[in-house]
Formats: sequence, structure tokens, C-alpha cells
Amino acid sequence: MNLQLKLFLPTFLLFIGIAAAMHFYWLPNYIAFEEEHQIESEQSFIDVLNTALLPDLLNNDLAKTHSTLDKVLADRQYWQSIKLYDNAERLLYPLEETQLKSRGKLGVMTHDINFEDNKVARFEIWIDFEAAQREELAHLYQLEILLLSILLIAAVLTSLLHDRWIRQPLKQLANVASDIALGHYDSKMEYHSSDEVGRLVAAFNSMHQQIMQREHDLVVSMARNKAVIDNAADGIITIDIKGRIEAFNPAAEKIFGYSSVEIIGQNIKILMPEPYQREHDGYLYNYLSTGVKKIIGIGREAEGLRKDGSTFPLDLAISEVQLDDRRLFIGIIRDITERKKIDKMKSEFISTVSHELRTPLTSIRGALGLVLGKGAKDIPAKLLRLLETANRNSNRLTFMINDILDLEKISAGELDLQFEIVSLSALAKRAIDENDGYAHSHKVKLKLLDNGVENTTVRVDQYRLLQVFANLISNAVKFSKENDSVTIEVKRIDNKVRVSVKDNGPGIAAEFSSRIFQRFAQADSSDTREKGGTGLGLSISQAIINQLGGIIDYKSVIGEGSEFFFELPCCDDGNKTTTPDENPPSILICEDDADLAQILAEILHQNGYSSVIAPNAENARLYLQKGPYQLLLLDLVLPDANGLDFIAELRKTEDTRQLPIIVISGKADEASKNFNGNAITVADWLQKPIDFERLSSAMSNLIEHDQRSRILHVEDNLDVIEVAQALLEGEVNYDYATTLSEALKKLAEHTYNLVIIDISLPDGSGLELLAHIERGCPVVIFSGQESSAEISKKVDATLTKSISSNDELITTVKRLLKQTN
Amino acid sequence: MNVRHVNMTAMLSRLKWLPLLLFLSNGTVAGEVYSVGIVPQFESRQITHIWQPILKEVSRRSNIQLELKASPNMVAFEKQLKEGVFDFAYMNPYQAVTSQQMQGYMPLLNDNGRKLFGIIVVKKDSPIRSVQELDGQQVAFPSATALGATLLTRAELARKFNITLNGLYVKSHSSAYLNVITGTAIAGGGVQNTLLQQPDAILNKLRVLYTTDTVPSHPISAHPRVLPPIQAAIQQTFLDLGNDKKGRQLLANIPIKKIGPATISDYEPIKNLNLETFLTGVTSQ
Repeated sequence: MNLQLKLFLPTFLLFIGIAAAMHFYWLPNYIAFEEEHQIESEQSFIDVLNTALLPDLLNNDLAKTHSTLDKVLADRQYWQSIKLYDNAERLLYPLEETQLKSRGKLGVMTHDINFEDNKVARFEIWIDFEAAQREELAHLYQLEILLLSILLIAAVLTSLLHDRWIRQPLKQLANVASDIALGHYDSKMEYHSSDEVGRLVAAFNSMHQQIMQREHDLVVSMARNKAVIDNAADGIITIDIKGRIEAFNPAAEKIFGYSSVEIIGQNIKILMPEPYQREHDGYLYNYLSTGVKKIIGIGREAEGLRKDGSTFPLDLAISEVQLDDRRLFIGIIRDITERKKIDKMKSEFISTVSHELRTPLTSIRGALGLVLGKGAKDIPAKLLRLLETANRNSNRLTFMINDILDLEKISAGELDLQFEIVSLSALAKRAIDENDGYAHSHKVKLKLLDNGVENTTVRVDQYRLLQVFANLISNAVKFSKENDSVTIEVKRIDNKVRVSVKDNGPGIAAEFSSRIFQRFAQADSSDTREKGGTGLGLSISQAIINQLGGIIDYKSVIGEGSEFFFELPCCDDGNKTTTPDENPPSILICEDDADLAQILAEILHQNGYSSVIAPNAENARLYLQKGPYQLLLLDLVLPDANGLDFIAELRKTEDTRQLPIIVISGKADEASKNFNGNAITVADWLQKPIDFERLSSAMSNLIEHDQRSRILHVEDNLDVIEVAQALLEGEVNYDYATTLSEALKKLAEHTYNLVIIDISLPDGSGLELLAHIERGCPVVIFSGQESSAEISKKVDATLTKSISSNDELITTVKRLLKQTN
Repeated sequence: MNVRHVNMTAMLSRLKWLPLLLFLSNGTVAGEVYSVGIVPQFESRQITHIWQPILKEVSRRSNIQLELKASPNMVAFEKQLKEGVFDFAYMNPYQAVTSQQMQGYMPLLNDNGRKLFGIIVVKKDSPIRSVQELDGQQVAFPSATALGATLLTRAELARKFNITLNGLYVKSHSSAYLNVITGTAIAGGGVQNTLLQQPDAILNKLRVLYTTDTVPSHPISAHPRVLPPIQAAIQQTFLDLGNDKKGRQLLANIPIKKIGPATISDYEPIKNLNLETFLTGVTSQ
């Protein structure tokens, strides 16, 4: 319904209402009233007529009487007839009896005309009441029509005025608004009035002006932004959540060799070499499903693929923006080919120079050493001091060059580590010995606290770990006051060992904490000259510890001192002397939040499980390489990897394919949904904060259902048993017997998946057992003496102690167990 | 004070004549308005209806302003005549004689084509065949003084037949005829003119029983105070009316068939009819 109709309708309805009220209520009521009063009214007229006629009748003036009555009849059409009789009942009027015309409802009214109590004459009046009403009605209808006509004219006039004053301006306004909506901003409305419509138009015109101004501002702003983007030195690329390129600025065109026309709409993968190209969808999918950011918001180096197929290094920064309901990713790309070239040249230069410096420096040090060693007593004291200064500084220069070379190696990924299992306590003692002279020269005492960890072994590169010790101890000594002491503590924490070096020096300011492990970082630049050192020590130490699978960090309180510590995974079972059967399954906790990891470990411990903590994926990989675990508790968000990727990686690796994994994550629910297809690979998903009861039940389910192979090792030498147990623990359910009789008893009582036999036993030959071993159960001879060909035929494998390596034993056991399974 | 009043009156009189002189210089006498009385033969409305157009036309033609002066009834009219109220008057022949005697009204014009006579009517189906049967009966007359209808008839019947009629005076000729039709009166007195003017419904119900001797018709007389040239102008104008169709139509309504000049000598015979006898009776009533 248009406005015109809406404006007209109320007036029209009002008109209809009034007309209806008039026609159906007022008029009938009025007619009823009139009918009621008609006879009364006729009577009063007859009274008047009586008065008029009386004198004429008294005068016998019939002519006047006739004339009067003729006029009355002419006036009152509905009076059908008047008959006038004199007192002798002679008809005075009319001259003849007349026929009554009307067929309607006739009424007769008679009236005597008296004078002084004498009857003069008598009326008989025939009245057609219907005609009277008709006449009255005709008058009323005329009146009604007149009123309704006036109303109708008023209604039409109102509508016309509404149309002119309201609808026409609004229609014009609507047209202008439509024009503006279509972008015709020059469309304008001229209407000046102080009424509401006028105010509306004024407000509209004002809004119109504002829109025009804002559009202008927007155009200017967009042009400015476009100019910035077009002229940016860095490539700026916008993609949608499916990876389709939406914008590609001129710098990006220049970097990649594509024009924006040909690249827009393509997938961003086209700009990446393998393996990034293949993996990109996965990154995007992982981010969108887990919200775990690998690149977004974090700058990183990557490789780009130009249109001509060449690749180049680039710096990539990706940020995410939300525009309306759409998520977009903006990538800023900088071609760092030149920078890389320069970096490489710089590294090569430093390496070359350092190596070139080393040779003459070796000669200088050698010469100085010879002079100071052999001819010291012949040198005057003054000269000796100078020579000692020269020697000390040549030593420092050597360290510095070594440090620089180490750093170059580390950054080039060329640090070659020689792993071996060593006692950390022994290593700490050696480090103290090596650095004692330096400490002594600073009048600082070195103290070692290593109670109870004498047997703790770690798998490390001794030389590099000593380098870390040296760095931490020399730093602590440097910042200690004279006669103070530096404490080196070796402490076992579950399956890790922590080494801390603690001083009572000035401490490290909190604002420096983020840079402490950076190269050439020193809390106070004046420290270099005051305290000596290259500023590379902590950076090198961190690189070494990370490569050894540990972590390094520090705690410090200003004015009280600092404590630098590193943690390394143990490769022994500590001092625990439990039998293999009673030993609870070992669990690996991969969690970067140290506090949560500790809580989890404690809970597991209370439940009778031992556990080790890996703060990152790299560390977890090292633990998993070293030994089998019954369960992995995995946080999805790790500092160096996406948990989901890590699970996939574990599933691809032979050793960890079947490893039960419980995921612990703040996003466990969300991630589990996206992991539906592979749900079997994850035993359970636990949402943070963790419901420990659920964790406990999930673990006991998993571990109770553990169907590990059961092995019996028959061996009289307890050292061998200890080594084998250490080797096989986790892989199998290890059981052992030291005598033939004990072995027979165990074989009778239990079913074993594999039996390892030493031939020479205190109470007989191990070969006797062969007859008692179930068919199908593989047997490995592991003996000091070489087995004959005949024996070899009877068993599945033969190994000779001292010749066969540990690895060989494990491999053989695993292979045979796999075959039987 | 008195002296001064006289002077002012004289001054005003001079001023009063000034417009008249002005009109005269234009060949008109429009300044003075002359009253015209009409004998109330009919209802006053009818009289006005007949005479107003005639006076208007005469005024237009003569440049003499004439004004109709109505009289509610015969008695009033005769009193006005007696007092000389009217400048001109249309009256019955008897009144022409009496007004001449009392005020000096002089007849100027009358209907040369018709003489006045009285008639006696009865109902058409009435058994009465002669006037003798009316002796002592109630007869309707317009008024006691109506010349044709009452005086001429009563005087002649008494003179010739020695009949006395019991008069019922019913205000008008029409009323007299109606009284006959309704039976209130056995017969009625009237004149030929008024009878013929009745609608057919009345006319067809009546029968003329008797006709009297004739007298000259009603004259238009002038009061002697009206200046002779005015009288002459009026007389001529009326005579002129008789010369054209429109004028004749107007005069026919009076009714005057053929207008012509009249003199007082035309009316001398009326004096011998002894009409006074009947009037005296009326007057004494």
C-alpha cells in the first residue's frame, strides 16, 4: 500500500464512518421521532387553520374560506382532502365530493370549529401520512446528501492537501534516495519548509552531504593506502582461508615475476617450492582447525618460487585480519637473497679470518708458554708480568676465536656431537678441576653438591658439555666477590638431571632476561672490559644444551645472585632398585609448561608410574629414540612443533607407531573433532584444565591392557642381567632366572614369548631348558662361549657376549618377537 | 420662536417645490405621487394583482407617479371616498354619484363597451323558476352597499315586484355565489362581470334567474384637487391603453372591455333609483 493510499484511507474511513452513522443511526432515529410527532404537529396546524378560518366562516365569506383551504391543500400536498361542513352538515368545501388519490396509509382527523360554545363548522382532513413522511424523508435525504457531499469534498480536499504537502515531497525524497543508493550522488532535493517533512528533507540533505564527504575521504584514504601498498618495497599478498590470492602488490610482482592479473585467484602454493608447496594446505588446515599458530604473527624465513622456476630465500610475516565475516591472511615478503649472500660472505670471512688467526696465535702461545715455563726464573720480575699479560690475552684471544668458530658452526648446523654415556657427577668434578685455576685467580671457591647422583648417567658429548660447564662457571666466578664461592649442584629430578651453577653476585636485571642468551649479550656493556669474556658463552651453551636434548635457563634476584641451570635426560634408572616386574610402566610427558609437567609427573608418581618430562618435541624425540615408553602424554601446543604434526610424525616411525598417546591440550576438544578420521591413533583427548581422575583411569586402562611380550632371561651373572634389563625394559616384560632349576620352575609357571639362555649355569647347561620351552617360543642363546652349528640349528638366534653389541641383542629380540606376533 | 418657525417653514416650502420645478423642466411631474383607490369588489390580493401592473404602466407612460391605496373592505373604501383620501378612484356607479356630491370626484373614464346590471343566481338544479319565489327568502349578497349585486337588484325587485329579500352579506361576489352552491342561501346577488370571472366549477353550478336594468359601468374619477392637466394626462393615458394590445389586455383584467371617456351626466339616472332607501337600512343596521 503506497503512501497516497495510506494518507487517503483514514480520511476515507472517517467519511464512511460518518456517512454510515448518519445513514444508519441518526436518520432512522430522526424519522422515528418525526413519525411520533407528526400527528401532534398536524393537530397544531389544524388549530392554526381553525383560527384563520373562524372569522370568514362567521362572515359566511366562503370565497375567502375556499381560497384559504385551496392554499392549504396546495401547500400540504400530503393532505389528500379537506372537507368542511357547516353546523347543518352542509358541505362547504369542496364544492363536490372528490375521490381520494392516494392508495397509501390515509388517516382522517376531524375538528370542530366553535365560536362562543357554538359549533360553527367541522373539518374532516384526510392525511396521507406516508406521503408526509416521504416528503419529510426526501428533505432528510437531501440534507444527508448535502452533508455527505460536504464531507466528501472535505475528504478529497484533505487528501489533495496530504498529497501536496506530504506525499509529493516524500515521493521526491524517495526518488532522490534511490538515486543516491544507485550511486548518483549529484541527485539533490530542493524543498524548503519548517514542517516535519521539511526537517526530514533538510536532515536527508545533510546526511547526503556527509556521505559525499565520507566517500570522498574514503576514496582519498583508499588512494593513499593503495599508493603505500603499491610503493612498498616489500611484497604484500592477501589470501583467503582457502589460500586463494586476493591481492598482489607491484613489489610482489617484481619479486615473483608474476603480474597481479595472472596470479590473483591462484593458490598461494604456486609461489612456494617443495616441500612447502605440498605442505601448505596442511599448515592452513591445522591453523584453521586448531588455532595453533606456526607462522602467523611470527616472522620466519622461508623459500619462494619465482615464475621462472628459480627459488630464493625470503622473510615472511603473516598476519591475520578479520574483514566483516571474512578471515584474510596478509603476507609481507622480503626477498633476502642479497642479505643471505652477505651473511654467507660474512660467515666465510669470519671463519677464514679466524682460522688464519689461529696459526700465528698457536705459535705465539707456544712461544710464550715456553718462555714462561722454562725461562721464567731468568726473566726479571717486571718483564715476567708483561709476558704473563701477553700470555693471558693470547689465551683469551684463542677462546674468543674458538667461540666465534663454534657459533659459526652452530648457526651453519655443523656442530658435530660425539655422544657417549657418561656419569654427570664425574663430568662436573672434571669441570671444577679444569676451572679451579680460573676461580682461584679470582679468589673464588668452587663447591660441588652431587649427593646421591654418582651413578646418574647422561648421553652427551663430553667435550661440549664441559664447554657449557666452563662458560657457566667462568661467568659465575666473574660476577662473584672475592672470597665468595660458586656452588655447582647436580640433582636428579625423576628421569632428568639438573646441573645448576649458583653465585652470590649482583644478579641480572629482569629487563635483560629476554636477551641473556643472545650473542654478544652482556647485562652491562661495560662488563666486557671489566669482566672480560666474549659475550658468546651463553649463546653457545644454549645451542649445545638444546642439541643435547636439554634445556637451559636461569633464575636471578638482584643483589642476591644468579643461578644458571641446565637439565638433561638421564639414560639410567637412577638409584631405584626395583625388580623389572614390579617396575611401573614408564611414561613420557611432553609438555612445555614446566609447572604443569611437574604436577603431572607427581600425580603419575603417586599412581605408581615413573615419568620423564620433555619440554619440547625435539626433546621428546630424543627420549623416544633412547627407549620405548608405555604412554605419551602430549600437549598439542609445543614451542617447536604442532602436536598434531608430531603425532603424525610418530605414527610414521616404526618404533612409535603403536605408542599410546593421550593428548592434553587447551584445544583438545576442538582438535579431536578435526582428528576424527584418525581417532584410533590417539587413545584419549583431555581438555585443560585436566580432570586427573579421567587421566588416571585412561592411563590404567591403557597400561592394564598392555600386551607386552614376556621374556625370560636365564643368566647367572647379575651384571649382565642388569644391563639386559636396562636395554629391554619398556620393550618387553622382563623376567629373569639365575639358575637352571629356577628357570625350569618359571617356565612351568608362566608363558613366555621369548627365552634368552646362557649355556653355562651353576646347576647345569642352559641347553637342557630347550626341551621345556613351548613350541613356537623363540630362543636366543646369549653366552660367553661361541655356539656350535648344531646348537644354532635348534635355536632362533645365537649371540656371543663381548662380541655382540647391546644394539645387536635388542634388534634380535625385537625381530624374533615381531616374527612370532 | 414662533416667528422663526414660520420663516423656516416657508423656506422649507420653497425647497419642497424645487425638485418639482426641476422635474417639470424635464417634462415630467414625477415629483408628486397620486393615490389611487379601488372599490373592493374582490379580495385585496386579487385587486393588487389586477391593478398594480396597470398603474405601473400608466405611470411609465404618463410620467405621473400613481400609487395603489388599498382598502380592506367596502365600508372603509366608502369612508375614504367620503373623506376624499384618494386622488383618483375606481368606484361603482352609485359611489360615482355620492362621491361627486360629497367631495366633487368627477368621472374621467369608464367601460364604454359594457353597462352595469345586477343579476340573481340560483343553483342550476334549483326548483325556483321566478323571482317571486324568493320573496322573504335568504339571499346572499356581497355587501349591503354593493351597487350591481345588492342595491340594483334589491331596488328593482322591490320597485317592480314588491319583493323583499332577506340579505345575507357574505363579503364578496364569489362568496355570494359559493353560498348559493353550498345551499347556505337559496339565491345570490351579483353582477355579470364577476359571475363570468368565476371558475367553471362554480359557473356550471349556477343559473341566472333575473337580470336588472343597466347603469353605466364603474368610472375612474378624479378628485378636484388634482390639477386638470394631470387629470387630462391620466385620462389620455388610459385611453391610449385601449389603443394597443398590451393596454387592452391590462384593462380586460379590471374588467374593462372598451375604455372611453365618462362624465358625471352619464350617472344622473342612478339618482332616480332610490338606492338610498336600501342604504339607509344598511346604515341603520
